[in-house]
Amino acid sequence: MDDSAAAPESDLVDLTGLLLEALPSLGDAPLAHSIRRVLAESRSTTGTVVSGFESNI
Amino acid sequence: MVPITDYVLKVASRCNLACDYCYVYTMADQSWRSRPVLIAPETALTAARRIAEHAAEHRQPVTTVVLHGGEPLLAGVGLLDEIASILRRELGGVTGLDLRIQTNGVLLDESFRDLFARHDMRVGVSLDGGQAQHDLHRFLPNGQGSHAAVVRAIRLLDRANYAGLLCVVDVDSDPVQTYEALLALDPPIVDFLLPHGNWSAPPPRRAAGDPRTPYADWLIAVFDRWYGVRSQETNVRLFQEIINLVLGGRSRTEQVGASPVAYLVIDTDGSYQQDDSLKSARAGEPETGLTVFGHPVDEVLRHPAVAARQQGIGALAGECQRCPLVRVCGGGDYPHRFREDTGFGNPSVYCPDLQRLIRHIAARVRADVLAGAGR
Repeated sequence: MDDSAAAPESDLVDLTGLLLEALPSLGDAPLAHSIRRVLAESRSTTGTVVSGFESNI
Repeated sequence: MVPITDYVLKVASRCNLACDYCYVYTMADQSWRSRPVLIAPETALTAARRIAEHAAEHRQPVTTVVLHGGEPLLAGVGLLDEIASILRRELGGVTGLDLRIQTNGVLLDESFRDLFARHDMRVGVSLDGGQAQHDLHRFLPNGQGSHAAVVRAIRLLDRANYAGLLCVVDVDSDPVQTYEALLALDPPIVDFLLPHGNWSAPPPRRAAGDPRTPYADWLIAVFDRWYGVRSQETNVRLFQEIINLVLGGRSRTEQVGASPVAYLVIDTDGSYQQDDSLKSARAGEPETGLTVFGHPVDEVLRHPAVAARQQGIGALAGECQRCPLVRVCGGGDYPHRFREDTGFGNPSVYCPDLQRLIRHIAARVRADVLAGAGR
């Protein structure tokens, strides 16, 4: 799989080619968790991401 | 049309607390007074069959059902057991069931704990911080605080059933102390909710049009405490969603982002409603006029107000559509856009706070991503 091709676009942070390079140095920090999620979502083929009810967790 | 994946099933329309900010009891809509106190088993059965029918039609691998209130534990162990059994039976073989409950925790005892374990039910608890802070807003009708009972309940929960904590922001509290009081209870996830309000009935300390940003200031203090650790202590949903959006992903909560809304509320009388928190805006606002007894879920999806909330950025106010932050902000939470004269076609009453919070988070993330990549 071409990971750079899967990198999502953003209005605010240009991530082209950066996410996977950044990940190892971030360890277990909150940003590393976020990067793992955005990478997983960008590769996912299972339907639309939707909003759920906020008054529950 | 995006199928519904999450249902909020109201099992009790009353509450044993009298929280001063509650959107169900203290704001515009007072329809709780005419609802059945508890959902009837036959209503729950009909709702479960509608949910299963929709899941089958759209081949949904997983459906989430949140048992909600009022206070759902007022339904008692017996009725909750029956409802959970109905849901498992009717949805079994059709879709996976992610069964959840959101409680104030006060009534939670060993018998409820065992019920949650038996039904693999994930439990979210509402807690506003340490004792003094929590008891300021979340009290019994006699004025007695609920913090001690809630903390005891959280400690009683099996880890496997402990979903996390919901906290409503009070900008007069100490943000870091509040966060750390939640953290002390080792939650898998925390979320901070903005108190409901709108342009016509602004939230506390948020005068409409005031450029000051008390909510952003409060949340930024928490964000910096949460984000600045080497090893994540807990997940904070609002911050993770904003970071995800800043990085080009999509949101799974209505507070930010413009993902289509894919949940429905089913009240104790079997009526389908949109976002429950619209009760904060105008009496009757969440109503669809449709019920589980007469209408399949697909019909609710064709309701104009439900459909409008699946249209993303295109359905936002022009001012929002021109904003460079729109993809992250998404216009903010829907009830917060309301104005008596113009309805929901406005930016959020929290617009200055949202802008400042998003820009702060984006700046920190940008710096760290670039530093991590050695640029």
